[in-house]
Amino acid sequence: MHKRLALILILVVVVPIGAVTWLGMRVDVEQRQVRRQQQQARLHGRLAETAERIARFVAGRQQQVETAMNLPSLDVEAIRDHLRATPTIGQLFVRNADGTMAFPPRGRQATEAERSFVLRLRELWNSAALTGPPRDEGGTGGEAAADSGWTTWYWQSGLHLLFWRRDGSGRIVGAEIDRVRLLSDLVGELPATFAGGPAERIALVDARGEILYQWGVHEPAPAELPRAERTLPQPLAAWKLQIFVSPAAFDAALGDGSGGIGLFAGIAALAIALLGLALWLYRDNTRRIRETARRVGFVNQVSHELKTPLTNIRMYAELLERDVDELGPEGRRRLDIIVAESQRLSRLIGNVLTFSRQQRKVLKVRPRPACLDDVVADVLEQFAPSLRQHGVEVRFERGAAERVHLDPDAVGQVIGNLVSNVEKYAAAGGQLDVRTALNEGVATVTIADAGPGVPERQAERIFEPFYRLEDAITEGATGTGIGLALARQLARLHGGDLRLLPGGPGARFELQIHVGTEGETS
Amino acid sequence: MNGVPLNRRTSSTCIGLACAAALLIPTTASATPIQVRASLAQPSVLAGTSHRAWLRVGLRGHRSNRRAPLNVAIVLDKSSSMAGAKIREARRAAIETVRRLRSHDIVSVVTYDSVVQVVVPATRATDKRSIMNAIARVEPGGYTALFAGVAKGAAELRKFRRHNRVNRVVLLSDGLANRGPSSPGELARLGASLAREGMSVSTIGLGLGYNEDLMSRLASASDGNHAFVEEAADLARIFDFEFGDLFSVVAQDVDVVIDCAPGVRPLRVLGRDASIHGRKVRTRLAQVYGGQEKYVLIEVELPAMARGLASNVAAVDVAFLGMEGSRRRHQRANVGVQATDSMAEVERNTRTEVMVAVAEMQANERNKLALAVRDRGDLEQARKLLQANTRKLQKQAKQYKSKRLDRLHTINKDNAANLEEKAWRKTRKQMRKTQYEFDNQQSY
Repeated sequence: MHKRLALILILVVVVPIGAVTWLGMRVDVEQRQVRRQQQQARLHGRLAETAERIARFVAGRQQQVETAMNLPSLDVEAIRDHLRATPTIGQLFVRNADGTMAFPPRGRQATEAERSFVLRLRELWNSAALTGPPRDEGGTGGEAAADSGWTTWYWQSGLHLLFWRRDGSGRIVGAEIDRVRLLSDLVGELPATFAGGPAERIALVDARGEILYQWGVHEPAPAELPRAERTLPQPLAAWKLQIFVSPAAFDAALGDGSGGIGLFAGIAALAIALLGLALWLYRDNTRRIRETARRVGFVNQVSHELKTPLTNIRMYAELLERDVDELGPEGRRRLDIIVAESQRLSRLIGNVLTFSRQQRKVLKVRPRPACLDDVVADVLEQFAPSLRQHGVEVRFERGAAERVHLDPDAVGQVIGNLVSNVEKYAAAGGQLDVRTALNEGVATVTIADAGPGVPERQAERIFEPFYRLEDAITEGATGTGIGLALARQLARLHGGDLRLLPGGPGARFELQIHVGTEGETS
Repeated sequence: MNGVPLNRRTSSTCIGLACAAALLIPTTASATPIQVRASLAQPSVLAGTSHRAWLRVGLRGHRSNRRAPLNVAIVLDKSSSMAGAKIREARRAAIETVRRLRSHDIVSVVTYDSVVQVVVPATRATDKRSIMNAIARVEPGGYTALFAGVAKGAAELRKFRRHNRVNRVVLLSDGLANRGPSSPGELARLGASLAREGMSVSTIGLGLGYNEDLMSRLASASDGNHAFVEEAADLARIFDFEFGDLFSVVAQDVDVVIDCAPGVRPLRVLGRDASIHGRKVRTRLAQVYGGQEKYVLIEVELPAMARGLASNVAAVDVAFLGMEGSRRRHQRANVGVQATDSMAEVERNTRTEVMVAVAEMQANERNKLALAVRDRGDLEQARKLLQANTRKLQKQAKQYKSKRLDRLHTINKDNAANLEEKAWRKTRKQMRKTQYEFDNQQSY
C-alpha cells in the first residue's frame, strides 16, 4: 500500500518535471536554432555589405577608366600624360580594327613598362579571355557593334584586370588596372581593425586562399573554418570574403546562458513545489492509514473483549431456555429476545473480527467435512424467532444433505449475513425462500426475499465495504455496511462467489462455493 | 655650371633653342629652389670618332630656412617579433618625432601585425600629448601584414594630400611580410603607384630579420629613403635623419626630361628607374632636399664630330612643384660638346664631379653584381669582384680626392671580408642599404 502510494507520488512528481524539462529543452533548442539562423543571416549580411562596398569601389574605377578612354586625343603623348596623372590606371592600349596597335607604340618608341604590358596582352589574346577583340580579325571591323566589359586573366604574379571597350569602328580601347594598386586602394577603402570591435574577422582571400587583407580583432585558430563566405561580383569573382567569429562570441550571440538558466530555474521551482505537495500527501496519507489502523485495532480489541462475555451470555440464555419451562409464555418470549439479540451481537462481532482479519490479510477458510443443509438449517433456526416476530415465512428446500468439504463457520456467516439483511430490509415482503443444491462439487445456496430488491445499477456496489443503499430501503435500519462485502470475500476464499441474481421483485442472492465430496477429499 | 660651350659659327635651330635656354638660366637660378647643373664627364672629345660618354644632370636643392609642411604616416610593424627593446625603441622614436612636428604638420600613426590598426588617424599635430599617448599604448603580437600597413598609411595620407606638403609614409619593419602581397616586385609596384600620386615611402629595416630586397625596392619605386638599423637603440637617430630630410624638402614631384639632340643616342640610366624612348629620357624624383644634390647619370652615344665643331648634346627640362603654390615650375639647361684634336684639352676639361658620379655608379653596379653572385652561392667569385672594386675605388678616390669614393672603398672592403654564411645576413642588408644610398644620393 505504502509502496504503491510512494510510486504514484514519484510518478506525479517525475512525469510533469520530465515533460516540462523536455518541452523546455525543445523550446530552447528551437530558439537556439532560430538565433543561429539569425546570426548566420547577420554574418551573410555583413559580407554582402562589404561586397557591395567593393562593387561600388570597382564601379568608381570603371568610371575613371572610361574617362581615360574618352580622351579627346588618343595620340601617344596624350595617353602617357593622362596615365601619369591617373595613378589608379596601370596601362592603356588602343587596338585598331585591323588588329594593329595604335598604343603602346612599337619597338623603341615604347617604354619598358609599355613593352612588358604588350607582352602581358599577348597572353590575353592567346587565352581569348577577351571575348570581343579576336572577332574583328575577320575583316568586318567597320560593322562590329559597340561593346564593353571586364576581362581578367592570370599572368605571372596573379590576377590582372582589364576594362575594354569597342566602338562602332571596331577599335578597341582597353585599360589595365594594376592588381597591386587596386588592392592597396581597396585596403584604404575597407575598415581597419579597432581594439574594441566585435570579436570577428573578415578576410579577403584570393583564388589560392591566400589572405589579401583582413580586419577585425578575432584571430582565427589555424584550422578554423569561416562561418560564412561570399564570392565577390565580377570582375573580382576570383576573390572571396570570409568571416570568422570566435566560438565564444558566436555562442554568446545565441544567448544560451540566460535562457537555459531561466528554464532550469523554472523546472527546479516546479520540482520543489511538486515534491513538497507529494511529500505532504504522502505524510497525510500515512498518518490517516496509521490512524485507521489504530481504530481498526481498537475495534478489534473491543470486539475480542466483548466476544467472551457475550458467548457466555448467549450460552447461558440458551441453557436457560432449554432447562426452564416454567417461565410461562411471557418469560419465554423475553428469553427468546435475549437469545436472539445475543446471537445478533455475536454475528456482528463475528463480522467485525472477520473484517479485521481480512484487512490484515489473515482471513482464511478451513474446510472440513460438513453438511451444507445442516449449516443452513442452523442459521435459519437461529433467526427463526426474530423472523417469526417480523412475520416472515421461511421456506427451506433442502438439496444438499451430503457431507462435503466446507468451512461451516464461514458458510454460516455468509448465510447469516444474507438472512440478517432479509430481516432488516425485506421483512415487509413476509417471505424468505432458501434453496440448496449440490452439483458436481459446487454447492449452491439461493436466498430470495420478496422485499423491495436492489436497483440494477447498484447491483455490484452493494458488495463494496461500507456501501449502503441510501434510500427508503435502508432508512431506519441499522447496519455496519460490511456484511455483503465479507460474505462475497468468504465465498471467493471458498473458491466460489456470491452474486445478486438479476430480475425478480425482491432480491435474490446466489452463493456458490466449491466443495469436494467427503470421498474426494479424504 | 649652367653655361654650355657653344660655337656661334654653327647655325642650326638647336643652337637657337640652346641660346634661349642659356640666357634664361642665370637669371632664374638664384630665385628658384632647384639649381640644375648638367654636363658631360668630358665636354671636349676627340674629333673624328663616335664616343660613349657620361651625362650627369645634377639637381641641387637650395638651402632654405622655411620648413616644409609635412603630411606623414608613421607605419609601425608591431608583429610579435618586435616584442621587447624593438617596440620600445620604435615607440620612443615615433614619440620623439611627433615632438618635433609643428602644428601645421599632419601626422597619422598606423600599426600592423596580422591586421592593421589606425592608432592615430590623420590629424594636425596640435594635440601632441594624445598622439604620443596613443603611440605609447602600442603592444606587439601577430603576423606581418606589411602591404596592408603601407596601403592604410597611404590612405591616411590621401585625406590631407596637398601639393605643397611632403606626403610620406615612414615604414618601420623588422620581419618578412607574410600576410597579403609580400613579394618585392609587388611592393615595388605599390611604391611606384603611390609615387604617381605624389607620395613616397621611406623604409627602415630593423634587425636582421627583414627582407632588404622588398624594403629597398619599395623605397626605390617611390623615391623615398631606405635605412638599415641593426640595433634598436639607433632608431631614434635614423628617424631624426629621416625627418631632417623631410623638413628640408624644397621641391617635389620633380620630372626630369632629357631630350637628346639628333644623332645622340641615350643608352642607359644608372642607379635610377627611368624610361628611355627614342631620344627622350624621362625620370622622376619625389623630392629634392635643401642643401643636397641628387643626380641622374646617363650613358649616351655621341656621333663622330669634325675638329673644332661644337654641338648640342641634350636639352634638360626639370619640372617641379615648389613648396608654395601649386603651379608647376621649370628649370632648363643645355648640354654641349666640342670636338678637339688635343688629348690634353680633353683631360683638362674633364669634370671631376661627373667622373666621381660615374665611379660611384659603376662601383655600385659591381657591388650589385657581387651580391647577385653571392646569392647564387659563389662566395669566392663575389669576394673577387668586391676586392677588384675595392682596389679600383681606392685608386679613384685618390685620383679625384673624393671622400665619397673613399667611403665606398672602405665599405666594399668591409663587404668583401664578411661574405661567410654567419655574417651574410647582415652584410647583405648593409650592401642593399649602401647601393640604395648611392643610387639615390641619400643623405644618411
